[in-house]
Amino acid sequence: MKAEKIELVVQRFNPERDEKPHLQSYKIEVKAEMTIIEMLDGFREKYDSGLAFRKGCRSGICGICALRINGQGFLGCKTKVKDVCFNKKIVIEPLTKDVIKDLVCNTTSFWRELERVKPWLIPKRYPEPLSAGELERIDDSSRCIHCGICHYDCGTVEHDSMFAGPAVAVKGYRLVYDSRDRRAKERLRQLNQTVWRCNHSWNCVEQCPKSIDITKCMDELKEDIIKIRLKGAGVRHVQYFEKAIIRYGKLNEFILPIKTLGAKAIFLLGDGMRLWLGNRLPPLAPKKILRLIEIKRLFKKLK
Amino acid sequence: MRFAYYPGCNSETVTKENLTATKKIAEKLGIQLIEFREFSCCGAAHLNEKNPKFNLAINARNFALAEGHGLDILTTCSTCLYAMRKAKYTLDNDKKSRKEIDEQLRIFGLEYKGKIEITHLAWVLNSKEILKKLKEKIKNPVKLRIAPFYGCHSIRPSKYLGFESKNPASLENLIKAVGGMPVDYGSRLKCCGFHTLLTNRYASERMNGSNIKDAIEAKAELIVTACPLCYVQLKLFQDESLRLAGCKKRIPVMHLSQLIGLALGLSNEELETAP
Repeated sequence: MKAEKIELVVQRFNPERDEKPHLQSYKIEVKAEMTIIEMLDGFREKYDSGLAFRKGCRSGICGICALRINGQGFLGCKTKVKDVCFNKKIVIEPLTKDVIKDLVCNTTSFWRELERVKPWLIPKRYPEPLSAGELERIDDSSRCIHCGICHYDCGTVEHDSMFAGPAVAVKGYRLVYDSRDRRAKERLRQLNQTVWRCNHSWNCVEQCPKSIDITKCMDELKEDIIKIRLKGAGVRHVQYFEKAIIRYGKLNEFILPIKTLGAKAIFLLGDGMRLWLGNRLPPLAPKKILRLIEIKRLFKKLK
Repeated sequence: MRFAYYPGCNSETVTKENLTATKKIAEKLGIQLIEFREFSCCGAAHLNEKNPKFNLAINARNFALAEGHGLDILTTCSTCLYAMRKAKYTLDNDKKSRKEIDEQLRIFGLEYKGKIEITHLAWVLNSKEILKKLKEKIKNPVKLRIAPFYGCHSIRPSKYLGFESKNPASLENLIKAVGGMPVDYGSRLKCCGFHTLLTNRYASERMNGSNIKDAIEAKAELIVTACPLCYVQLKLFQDESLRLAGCKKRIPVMHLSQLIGLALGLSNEELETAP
């Protein structure tokens, strides 16, 4: 296959020399079918042997080669040049902002979050083997390789230090639904503190190199958190969604904040006033939809 | 072109101007929007977390109502788009749940056939036919540097949305069509933080502030969004959010429908564009 010239922009940082990381541009020759790791290996051979980056299994299993390519997380060993080269340019940065050297970065914050959910099986005294159905349920989440891409690509993680991140929810899911584990309830209690902080932006689903259905993990964990009657603003928020739909067929945006926040809704008075002045305040009770009886019946029959 | 119009709860209350503007531009572009007072809430991203079967059922009911009139559904809300397309994906792939729901719908004389398409205003405006018509009807080109803000739920997860690739261009196409200059900035595909505005306000506003600041720093003169929930964040919570982001400047925000309306020659009063 013919090699072509592209512009490779790489973040460089040598702690002994540089004050802060900077982007550096190189014109290099690559082949479209090369993986990013192969491209970086070639770069080191031909252009600069000092470039630091991590690589491991080269098979998408160890997760160590996670990089930020054109602003999004990818595994260097699974991603081909042709898939990320736009207008003959590729920008490569380390996955996190905590850089050690060049593309090598510190991912301790991710591992610390993961540790908090005790990411190992805590077996019952006499565990039964998993049934085929149980195994099928946790199979998808078991494929997580802890590369940290979902964690560092998540906007909520970036701005909310209390959100443990998608990988923690996936690991939690893997263990909550493993019938050999004896801490399911405690795990759900712990996850109740974090899963509701998710913004449903689903960058994690898009970027997961193992294509794990993180939306499903989140939805099912939340469903069970509600089932075992754990409390919290997130739980109340979702519960009122259902109530309003049964009562009006649609959302009651006036009552929703009050139901979600309880007494703390008093702090929203300023917002309410602003909405009222801008003629945006939702009505106290929305107009009911036509044929609302059908919604009530669906709720009753499909419980 | 005829669609069953699904404005979403938010555009019926907090962002009514989006509903008004959408109807007006649809009329100008020859898109017929049929309103259904029978449509229920789509469950947004939340009902699924509490009662997934009920969530599927209310969506199947909405789909069956539209299908009964031979119409596809057009929405102007990204979260409604995500919720409905996810429900449709599940209904089309989970035969057991679909059978159970179908049995209930039959009692009301409804049937979900699975033929319906759920689409967004931005996607319809990007169709060849409408885009051509739009370009022909431009009366008042909006010659500004405009930052597009997509909103997560019109692009992710692509498994359910699937209209655009990882590097979407529908909003940029429309900005160019109305005579504007699309601004490329890092936050155009980021999350606005709306879904945790109540439960986690500080982080929600931090996310929002960082996005708006990014657009301002890229020298945008206007932000346009295709989602009314993002609009609430970008416009109504802009002051607090930018204060957290340490930015003193402010920037106007518009619904996509309002931007198109302005270009088509509608007035600010007709489109209810807020100062």
